[in-house]
Amino acid sequence: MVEGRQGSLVSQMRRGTIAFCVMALLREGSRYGFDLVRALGGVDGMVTSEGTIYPLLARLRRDGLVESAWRESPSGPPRRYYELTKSGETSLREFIEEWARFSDAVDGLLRKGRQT
Amino acid sequence: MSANPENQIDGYLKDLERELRGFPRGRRLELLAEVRDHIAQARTTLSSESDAEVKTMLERVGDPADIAAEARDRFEVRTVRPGALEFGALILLAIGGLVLPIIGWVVGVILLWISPAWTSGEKLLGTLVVPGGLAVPLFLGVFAVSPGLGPMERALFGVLFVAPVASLTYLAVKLRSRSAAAIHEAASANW
Repeated sequence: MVEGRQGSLVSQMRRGTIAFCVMALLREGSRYGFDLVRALGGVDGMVTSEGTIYPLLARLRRDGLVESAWRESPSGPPRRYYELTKSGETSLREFIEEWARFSDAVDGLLRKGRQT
Repeated sequence: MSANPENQIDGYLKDLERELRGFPRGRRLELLAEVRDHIAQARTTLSSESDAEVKTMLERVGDPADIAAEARDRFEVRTVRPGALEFGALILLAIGGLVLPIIGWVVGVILLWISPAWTSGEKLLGTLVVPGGLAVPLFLGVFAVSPGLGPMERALFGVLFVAPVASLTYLAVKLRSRSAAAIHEAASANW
């Protein structure tokens, strides 16, 4: 196996946060799948297999956090554009607050550990 | 020999389709369509369509087994490795009552409800269609059927025979589709 414990830790953190990263990208406006994947792919470790974004998007849609519509694209055939719903926005806002609290707490503890 | 990019991509999509076996048809077709579109867009960014470039592009899209594993995870598709519990349940529900009247079938029902392999609805179906399993029509056949059987009795006898076979076959098919998913998951466990 290539992935050690660190690798699986990163993949678990990714699993827990990627839905919100997708939703955060959609806050700026609607995007189609390929565009979303490439935007996430710019962040190291966020996307290991591009195709895995589609089951996630389908799940977010089923949960009513995003919705999709077919729209003409500037170039090429019509594409399925995803956008954030009201309930998606609420859920994202809640996550951002939780995340700030959580990461502050972890950062604090990690700093403390270094001083002793 | 150079593989045509179309063939490479078709092969990839076929693999994905196979990995997605066990998903509801609508979900499967939608995921396939999305990945197909994704590949079509990724193709437009390639500088050439050489074997190597197409292969690298498909590797970026990801191992079909990984995509299917993610889908199972996101949609909490049941995956089971059928064992003695499941096979025991199906066998006892069918013919347990013949081996040990009533009790054999009841044990089958208990195993059915203990197993995580079926949904509550499916368990209810297995319990209610038909209590006693094949023991009921067979006992009726041995003890209660006189030569002068009316059409109503004949029909009832047929239903009592066919219904449990149908409901247990349905449970077995469900079990098989879920275990197919589990086998693929084991194959892609190094995600």
